[in-house]
Amino acid sequence: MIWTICQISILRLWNNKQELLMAFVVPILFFTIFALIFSRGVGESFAQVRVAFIDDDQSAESQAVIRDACTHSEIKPVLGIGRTTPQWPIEELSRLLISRRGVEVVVHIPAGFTTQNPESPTLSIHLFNEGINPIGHRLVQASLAESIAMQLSAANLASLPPARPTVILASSTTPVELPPANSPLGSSPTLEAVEPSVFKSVNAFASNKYQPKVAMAAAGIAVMFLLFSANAAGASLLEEREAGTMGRLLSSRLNITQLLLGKWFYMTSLGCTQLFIMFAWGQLVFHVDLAGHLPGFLAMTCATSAACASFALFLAALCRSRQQLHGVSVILVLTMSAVGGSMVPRYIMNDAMKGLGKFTFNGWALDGFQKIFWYDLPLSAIRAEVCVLLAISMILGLAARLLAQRWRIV
Amino acid sequence: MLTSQPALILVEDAYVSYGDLQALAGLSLELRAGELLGLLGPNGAGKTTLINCIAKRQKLDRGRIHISVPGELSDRLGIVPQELAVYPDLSVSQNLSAFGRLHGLSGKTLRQRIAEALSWAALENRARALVHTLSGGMQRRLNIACSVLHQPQILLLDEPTVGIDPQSRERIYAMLDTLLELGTAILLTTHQLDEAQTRCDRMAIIDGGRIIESGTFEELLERTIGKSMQLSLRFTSPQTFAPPPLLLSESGLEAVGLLSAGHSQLPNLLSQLASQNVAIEHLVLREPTLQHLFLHLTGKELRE
Repeated sequence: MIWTICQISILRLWNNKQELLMAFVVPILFFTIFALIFSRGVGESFAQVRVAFIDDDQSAESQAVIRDACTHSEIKPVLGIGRTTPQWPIEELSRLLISRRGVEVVVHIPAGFTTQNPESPTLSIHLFNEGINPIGHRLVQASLAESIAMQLSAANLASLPPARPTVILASSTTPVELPPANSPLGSSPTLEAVEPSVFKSVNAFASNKYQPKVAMAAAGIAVMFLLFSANAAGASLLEEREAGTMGRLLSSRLNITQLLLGKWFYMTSLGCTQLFIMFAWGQLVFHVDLAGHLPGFLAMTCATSAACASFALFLAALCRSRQQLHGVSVILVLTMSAVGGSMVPRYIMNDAMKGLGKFTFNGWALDGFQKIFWYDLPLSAIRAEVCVLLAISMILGLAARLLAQRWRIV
Repeated sequence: MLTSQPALILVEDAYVSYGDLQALAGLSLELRAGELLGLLGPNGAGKTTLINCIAKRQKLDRGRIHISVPGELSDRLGIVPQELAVYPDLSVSQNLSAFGRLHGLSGKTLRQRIAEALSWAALENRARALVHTLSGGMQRRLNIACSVLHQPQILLLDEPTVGIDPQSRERIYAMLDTLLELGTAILLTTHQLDEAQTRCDRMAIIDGGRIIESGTFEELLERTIGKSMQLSLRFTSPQTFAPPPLLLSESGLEAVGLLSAGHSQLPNLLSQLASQNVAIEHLVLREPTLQHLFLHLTGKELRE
């Protein structure tokens, strides 16, 4: 009986090409888009900031700093080294470069950068940014700090006067000079204090593997689509009830528990298939290491799909009509996806939001996938996530069964 | 002949209420093997509630329903809901296969029953077609076929011919005739009074949750309006008075009445009208129909 219900659902999906497309192709499409966003293209693993350099100092040192900065992988130089003119003061020129030439950050090395200025004993580089991207100018700032430290040290720091090196940040419209203390270089009291030390940040987990960020994007998108797909499948229960088919089903040998179990198995299988296809696509196109994490992937996939299936059954049993279900499920799925990390990576969330994410399937599922694909942890490490998801599945499944009792009477 | 058949369903003094609404109020009924019983009643009379109670999908508040068929009820009972309770995105044979398996059929038996059902419903050529591509009549036939795959002894049909053309209706009744020949007891609810009059062995008229009359059409006539005939008149000019039992329409141009003594009452009535210089443009004298009977018993049109 349970298999027959499962089979009916599979045949219905197979016969309905539009639903089939929605179930498998659309999630892959969205995943691809997200993966491209996270990786900035197949094979690349980070975003580059488009930078223009304007050098009014024209000294060997300033040129060396720029050359060194251009070697940084975060920086994509888009314009050659030039200088300001009376017709084109730096603010005006920066606005023009940002608005017309797609530059994200303009680096201006003013005249006298490397010579002593008795009135203003600071070493200043101006950064003009577009004011939209909050990260780009910080990346450039860090790169420049490193280049300055390297190049000025190499050019005999001792010959320079004691000055406070400062990076001045400004938006394209309202330039603002940050206090020196906020600057990496400004935090040093003198140039002598800026040792030619190089800070190199190394990803402790992901440096030696392919695209863990893409794996996380796949998991995030997959869980969101899993919830949508499961809810669409759950709506078939209400459709059957409205069409009178449920009455016919329940007048056969089938009982309500078998009907729900049949739907649950179908939705769980559909979810597992969707997740597998998405990760297989991820492996094929984005080099996600699925084969290397298969046991953990299977455990998380089954647990997540089971939880999503029970959630869909619960909502379907709770709602009175398909319209009501549609409204409720869209709101809940989008909210859970936003809070749980399917739409926005959880690592950029504050602690409160991360805590809130623990009340969603997405949060638990993504934590589990992160442990597998990012931290390379063994199966035992995802015990908590799997148990929580299975417990949620069981509780919601039982609740759905209790609510569906009313369907016995038509 | 049918009265000698055993009653497969016996409903005795059934009561069901939904809050203040009394859906069944002491309803009693019996359905015999090989019989087509028409259940007629206005909307809200309790027909669907009765079907749900027989199918054990609704409990009686009071009373009893005795079903004299051996084995599991689900294997002996077929229900054809008023809605097209099939999967529109499955093919005809996929639907038959699914519902057959849910009734416990499998393997060779299932394949054989599907072939029989396709032939019975004249859908052999559309076996692979998706249901939503079929005509309304074909969908109705499939709706019935899905309920008889397991060869039930009792079949409950809730308005199986609603919204379909006369040819499809004929085909459906031909399908039901073959089931009756096999001894299946059929309970049919319908709003098509002409169909019920010509097709049903017996009729039960339900109103307010109870059976107000039941029997063959002739028995019902005998017990209610007897040999009365309906007279309809149209006058050449509006009238202000018509002799009893005629009732004038609002316009005064038409009048109808039930002649309790049949033809013999007509000459006297016509001479009364002639004496008042009433000119008759059109006159129709009709045998009583089930519609007259229904109106007489319930005071309502069937679709009220």
